[in-house]
Amino acid sequence: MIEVRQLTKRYEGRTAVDGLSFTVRGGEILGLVGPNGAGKTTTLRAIAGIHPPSDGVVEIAGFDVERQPIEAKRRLGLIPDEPQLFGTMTVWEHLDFTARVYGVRDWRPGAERLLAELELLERRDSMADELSRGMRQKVAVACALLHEPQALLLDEPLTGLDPRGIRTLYGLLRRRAAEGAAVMLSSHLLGQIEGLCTSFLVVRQGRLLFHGTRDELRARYADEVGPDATLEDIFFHLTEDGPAAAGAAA
Amino acid sequence: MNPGLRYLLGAGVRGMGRRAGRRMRTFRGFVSTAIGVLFFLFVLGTQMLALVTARQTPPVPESVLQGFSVVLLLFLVPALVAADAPFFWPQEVQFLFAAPLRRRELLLYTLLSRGWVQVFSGLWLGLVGMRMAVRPAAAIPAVVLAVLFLFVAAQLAGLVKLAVGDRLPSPVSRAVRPALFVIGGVLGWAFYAQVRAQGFGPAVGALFQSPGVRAAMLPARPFAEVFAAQTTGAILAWSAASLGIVVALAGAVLAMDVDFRERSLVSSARRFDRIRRMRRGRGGLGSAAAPVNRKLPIPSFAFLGAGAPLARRQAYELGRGVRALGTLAFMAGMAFVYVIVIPRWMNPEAAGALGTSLVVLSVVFPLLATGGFSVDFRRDVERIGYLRSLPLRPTAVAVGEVFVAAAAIAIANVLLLAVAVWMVDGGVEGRMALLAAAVAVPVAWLAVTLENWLFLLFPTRVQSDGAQQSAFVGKQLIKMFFKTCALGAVAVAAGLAALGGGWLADAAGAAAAAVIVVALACWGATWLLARAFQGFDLTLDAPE
Repeated sequence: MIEVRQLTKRYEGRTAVDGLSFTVRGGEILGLVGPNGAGKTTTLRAIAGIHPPSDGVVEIAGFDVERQPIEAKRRLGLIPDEPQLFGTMTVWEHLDFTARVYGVRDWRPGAERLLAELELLERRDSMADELSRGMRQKVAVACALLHEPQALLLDEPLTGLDPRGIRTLYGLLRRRAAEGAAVMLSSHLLGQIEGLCTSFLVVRQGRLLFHGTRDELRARYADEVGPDATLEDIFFHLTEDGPAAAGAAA
Repeated sequence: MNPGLRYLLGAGVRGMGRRAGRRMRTFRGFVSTAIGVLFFLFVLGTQMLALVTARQTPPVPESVLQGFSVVLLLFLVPALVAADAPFFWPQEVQFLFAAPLRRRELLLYTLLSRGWVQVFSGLWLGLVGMRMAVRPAAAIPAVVLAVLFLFVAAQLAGLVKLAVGDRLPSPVSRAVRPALFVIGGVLGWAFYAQVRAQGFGPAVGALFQSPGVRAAMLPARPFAEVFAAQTTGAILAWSAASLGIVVALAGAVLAMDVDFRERSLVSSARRFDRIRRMRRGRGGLGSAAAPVNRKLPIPSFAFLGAGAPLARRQAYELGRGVRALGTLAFMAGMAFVYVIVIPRWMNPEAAGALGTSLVVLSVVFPLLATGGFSVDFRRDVERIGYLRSLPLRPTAVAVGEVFVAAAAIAIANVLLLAVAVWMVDGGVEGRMALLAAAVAVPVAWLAVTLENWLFLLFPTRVQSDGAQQSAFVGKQLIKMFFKTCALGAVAVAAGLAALGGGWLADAAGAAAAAVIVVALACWGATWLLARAFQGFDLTLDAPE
C-alpha cells in the first residue's frame, strides 16, 4: 500500500505540492486528477523517490521512501508520462536489465507472458529507437510490471496507446489490483479512467480538493452538479475558480 | 555494484557498436564515417611522419613541465567553476532514480559510464600532443590521465558545491558568485597593470613564478611529470602516481554523502535540452538561451512574395534570441581578427593598403558563420512536415527559410568591411574594396543556401561526443570543403564570364557578365535547396 502524509514539494519559492495526505490500499485503483500544473507528476515522482520531498512522509508497503529507499523502491513500479528507453537496447534487453536491477529470479517466463499480452513478442529483438511511441509505452509498462510491485504508479499512461493497448493495460492493472497491489494513476482522459478507478484524488495547485470513491464524489456534489453528472462535469466544477473549489480546498 | 548497472554499462558499449553499424548501412553515414576515419589516420600519419623526419631535438623537459602544468590548470579552473551535480540522461532518470539503487552505486555508474568516453578523448588529444612530449609515447598516458583527472575533479567539485551550498545561508550562497567575479576582476586588473609595467613576456613569467600560481599548479604536477618524463621508468612511476590521484578523487566522489537527486534532475534536464537542440542542428551556444519577449519592428518582407511570412517568423525568432546574434557577432569578430588584425600585427612593415584581405574577409566570414548561425531549415527540422503542408511552392519556402540568415550575415559582412576600411583610415585599394562589397551579399546567400542544402541532404544528427566523433569530423570537413569548392567554382565562372564580357564589350559588359553568372549561381543554389526540401524523407530523416 501507499501512504502519504503531509507531502510538500517546493521548487525555488513555488509550492508544487502542498501538504497532501492520503492512503492507497492494496486492491485499490486511485485516479489522480487535476488541471495542468496541479502537481500530479510531482506527486507521483515524489512517491517514487525521484524528487526528494521538502516535507512529509511517503511509505510504500510500510517502508519510508526517504529513509529506507531500497526496500521501498523494490516494491514499487513507475510508468512515467514520457517513456524514455535506452535507444540501442532491445525490448528483451530492457526486461533483462530491469530483472537484474530488481533482483528478479527466473524472470523469463513472466517477461514472455507480459510481452505476449502487450503484443510485443514479435518486437522483442527490436531496438527501442525502432519502436513507435505506443510500443515504447508498452515496454515501459512491461518493465514496471516485471517485478510484480506492490505499489504501481502510472503518470498519464494512456497517452500514445491504441484502443487495444488501453484495454490490455486496464486488464493488467485490474489484475494487479486484484492480486493486492495498490495502483495510482494520473490522467487527463477523465472519461476513460472513470470506469477503471475505484477512488479519486482531485488536486489543484498542489492542494487536495477531494479524496474518496466515485460514489462519494457524486454524492457530495450531486446538489451542485446534478445526479447524472459525469466525473468530468464534477472535475470542471471542482477545479475551475468558484465556490466549489474554494470550499473543497478549505 | 548492482548487477543491473553492470549490465547497463555493457549495453552502453554494445549500443555504440550497434549505432555505428546502423550508420554504416546508409550511404551518407558510410561516407561521413569513412572521411572521419581518413582524417583520423591523416592526423596520426602526419604526427608519426613529423616525429620521424622533422624532430631534430626533443623539447626541453623544464619547459614541457611548466607548459603542461599551465595548460592543465587552464582547463581545470573553468571545469571546477562550471561543475554541477552529476548528469543523467532522461532514460537513466526514469529507470535508475525509481529503482532500488544506492546513491553510491549511481555515482559509480556515472564515473564508469562517462569515464571511458573521456579515455577516448584523451587518446585522441594524446596523439595530437605526441610531438610536444619529451618522449612521444609519454603523451598518451599523460593526456589520458589528465583528462580523467579533469573529469573526476569536476564531479567531486559538483558534489562539494552541493554539500556546501546546502549548508550555507541563502544570502551567503547568493553572494558567492558576484564575489568570485569581483576577485577575478581584481586579479585581472593587477595582471594588466603588471603587463603595462614590465611587458607581456616578463609579466607572464613572474605570474607563473608567484607562490599562489605555483601552489595552484601542484595538483597538475604529476601529470606534467609524465608528459615531461625522459625514461620509461619515470613514465611508469609518474603514471602510477597520477592514476593514484585519479582513483583517490574517485574514492572521494563515492564517499560524498550528498543527495544530488534534485539538482541532478534540474541540471540534467537543462543540459539534455541543450544537447537536443544541438542534435537538431539548432546550435548550442546560438540558441540555447531562453528567448526574450519584446516587441520588434519587423518589416513585412513583401518583396519576397509567398515566402515573406516564413522570413518574418525567422526574423522574430532571431530578434528574440539574443544569443544567436551574439554568436554571429563572435564569429564576425573571429573572422575580422584572423583575416585583418593578426596579419597586420604580425608583419606591420608589409601591411600596405587593404585590398585582397577585404575580399578574403568577404568570403571567409560567411563560410565560418553559416556553420553555427542556424536561423533557417536547421532550426526548423522538426517542422518540415508543417512547412510541407503550407500552400507554398518549395522555392518560396526555401527563400522564406534562409532569407533572414543570409541577410544577417550579409549585413554583418558589409559592416565588417566598413570597420576594416575605417581602421586603416582609408588606406584601401578602391577596386578590391568595391569587389569585396559586391560579393558580400551573393557569397552570404550562396553559403547559407549550400549549408542548408547539405543539411537537408545529410541530416544525420551526429555531434562531437566520443561515440560519433569520426562521423562528426567527417561531416564538418565535407561541408567546409564543399562550400569552399562551390564558391571557388562560382568565382572562376564569374571571372571567365567577365573576361569574355570584357573581350566582347567594355568594362561594363564584363561586370554585367559576372553579375549574370553570380545571379544564376544564387538562383541555382536556391532551386537545389527547394528540391532538397521537397525530397526530404520525413520517415527516414525526421528526428526521434
